[in-house]
Amino acid sequence: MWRKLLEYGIAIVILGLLWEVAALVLHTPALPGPFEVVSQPAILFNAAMGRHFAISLWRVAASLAFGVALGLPLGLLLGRERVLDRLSAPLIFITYPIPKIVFLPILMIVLGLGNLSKITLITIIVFFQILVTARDAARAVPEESVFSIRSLGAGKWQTYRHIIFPASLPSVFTALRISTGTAIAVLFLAESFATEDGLGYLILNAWSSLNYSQMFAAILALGLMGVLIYELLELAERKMCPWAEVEQ
Amino acid sequence: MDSVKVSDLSVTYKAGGGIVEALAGLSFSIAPGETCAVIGPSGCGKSTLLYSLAGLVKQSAGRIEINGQPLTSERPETAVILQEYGLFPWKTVYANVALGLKLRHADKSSVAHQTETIMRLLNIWDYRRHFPRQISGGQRQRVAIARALTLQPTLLLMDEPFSSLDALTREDLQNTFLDIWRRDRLTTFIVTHSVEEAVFLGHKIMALSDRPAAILKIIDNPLMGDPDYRDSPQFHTTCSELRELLRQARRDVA
Ligand SMILES: Nc1ncnc2c1ncn2[C@@H]1O[C@H](COP(=O)(O)OP(=O)(O)OP(=O)(O)O)[C@@H](O)[C@H]1O
Ligand SMILES: [Mg+2]
Repeated sequence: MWRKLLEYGIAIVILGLLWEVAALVLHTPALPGPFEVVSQPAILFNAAMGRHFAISLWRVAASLAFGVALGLPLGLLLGRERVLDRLSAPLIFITYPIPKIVFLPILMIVLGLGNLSKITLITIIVFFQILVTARDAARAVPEESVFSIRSLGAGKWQTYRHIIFPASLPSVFTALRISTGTAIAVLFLAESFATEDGLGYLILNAWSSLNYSQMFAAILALGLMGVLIYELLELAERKMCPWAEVEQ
Repeated sequence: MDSVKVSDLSVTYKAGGGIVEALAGLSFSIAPGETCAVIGPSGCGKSTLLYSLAGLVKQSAGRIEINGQPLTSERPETAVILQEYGLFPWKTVYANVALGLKLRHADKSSVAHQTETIMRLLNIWDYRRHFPRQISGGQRQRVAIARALTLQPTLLLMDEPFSSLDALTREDLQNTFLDIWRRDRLTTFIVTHSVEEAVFLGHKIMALSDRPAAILKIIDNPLMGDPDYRDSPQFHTTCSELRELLRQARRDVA
């Protein structure tokens, strides 16, 4: 715990230094130095910032949760059930590479401009990443493991529960970490138009009113949100896959 | 304990568009409480034979009867210890051993009781909270045996259970197995690459040819189980006989 804080401390100092140097060199109001930003607690910690932060966090977290809840079971199923996989694989491979952001306008028309359209968009993206990863992971489970549990008398459901699911879990966590990055990037885009809340809105709003300190404060908040989600994922992984840690 | 009767057993796999013939018409029978060691060149079909006896692989021809009943799928009285991947790395040693009972919905207290008893018998109770990766190969093998025994099987199938162990650990586990066998008289098949192990552990020693596996010979080894067998002249005679048989088979192929 202390080591982790220390590591983060060091990382923050290094980033702060780089930032400071860049600000000194460029010397433009568009890039205020780090002290200029953090020395104004009023723009970092205020009710509005808290609200924007909370709403963005909710959008990302809900999308990650829904994406996993849908993508994980379906991916595991496709990875193990040949017939189902044959039927749906072409569908997945055709739709997977399409940049899902193009659906935002449609989603906004159908689901409105509020949370629902944004969460749906990010959920779709997370869903695909988890689906594809879980499918490959379930496929890679050695047949011997399945034999082994069948010889202990396990049925289909028990095989999924005791073998396929835990064996795939570490890959799914890796995919989740990658998805988190994508999800935040897409969140920013989704919050950048026709919206009045969220960190993405705050950043663009500050930008258009040339309030650069405010803009960087919001960017810091976005970074903090990423760290928060990563650390929660890390915690969950350590809880759910204690055996994987043993490997290292 | 179970009797096993196999007649004209053939197994073929589909692979890469073609078919692989793994077993070519095996026939043999093993009496209740007997052990049978299976030995043969790598890739000849030993594991396949074991999977067939477990009902995990479908036979393409022939017949397997256990206690006179034709075998059609897995049966709860058969325990299998697989060559690798037998333990589940994501479960603790305890959870691995208890899994078979849990899957059969045994009640909690009897699962706990039976699991502990077996684990103490095999000297792995101290490692119950470890994960398989955190214990040695020999300990892992003990865990695999423990898990198989929790189900109180009447037919035990072991695929090279001791092959990755050093000589002393291996002897140790061979003796452990013999102790258990003397106590329970399980009908047992044990696949091995070691001539000495085959002779030490098998009442019958089944020597298989190169793929597709056919039976070269089944050697009777009535002295198996005798505590001092390893040091007796008969042991060495039987080892030589078996070794010569396997050598001869290889020469015939070449
Ligand atoms: N699922 C499978 N699909 C296709 N071919 C297979 C399959 N399993 C085994 N084989 C082939 O069948 C043959 C026998 O395999 P098997 O695993 O039974 O050999 P083995 O005698 O146990 O070998 P080893 O001593 O190396 O463990 C091999 O040639 C192998 O390549
Ligand atoms: Mg084998």
